[in-house]
Amino acid sequence: MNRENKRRKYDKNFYKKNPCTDSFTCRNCGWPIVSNGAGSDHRNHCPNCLCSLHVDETPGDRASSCGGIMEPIGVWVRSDGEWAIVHRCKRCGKLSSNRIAADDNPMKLMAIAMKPVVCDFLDRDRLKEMLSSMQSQGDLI
Amino acid sequence: MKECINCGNLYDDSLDHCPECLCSEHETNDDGEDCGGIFEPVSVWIKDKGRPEIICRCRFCGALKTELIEDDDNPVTIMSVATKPLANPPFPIERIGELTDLMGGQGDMDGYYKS
Repeated sequence: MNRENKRRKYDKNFYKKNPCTDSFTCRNCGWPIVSNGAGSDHRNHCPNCLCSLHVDETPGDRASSCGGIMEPIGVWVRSDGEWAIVHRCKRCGKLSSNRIAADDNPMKLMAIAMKPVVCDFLDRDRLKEMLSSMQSQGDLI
Repeated sequence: MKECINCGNLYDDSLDHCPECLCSEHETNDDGEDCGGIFEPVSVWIKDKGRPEIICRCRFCGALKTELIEDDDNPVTIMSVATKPLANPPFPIERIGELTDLMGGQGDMDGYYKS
């Protein structure tokens, strides 16, 4: 075992300080993933299906014993205007937020963002009533 | 009755967030220590069986949690939270047409965004 592998195995904070350059396949969709092209040294999720794995408790410590697949459930806009994906572990329900990467699938991102808008869970009549009370600003016609 | 720490609205004790601004107080964090930050709504997702939930994030420590949407929550606030990412897309909106071409032309805008 050379020195690099030894550090990787025994230094708990190795991935906090060093980029991970391993190639792997996505456990959810089988997409082959390389570390290049993410626009950051730390690739967090599959660029095709945006799923992640629950391996960290705090970023880079590889301390979680869960290992479940974390599915993307929502996107939100950070204060600097950048999107971040909210992941939820399918196994234990832990939530985490992560920046989007440069090569993420834009259709999948838009699909996640549009999902609450197209799901008809709000009462249309009540929404219309409230909008009309806003002096018809934002009228749905 | 309790007072919302974000907007000052009075609401019932049984509710876990303010029905107007959807905010609540982050009382204790994972380590059992007091936080006192404001949980603000950042996103909406549909849990299985069609139950909508808001995703809240603590402004102070960044903790995340989900809360079920109640019937008397303000629908305008919910829609505003849900549509916020669409108003701030990470890629140029003019290139949405290229994306729909990948889908075989479904959702075509008839060249509306083509210059």
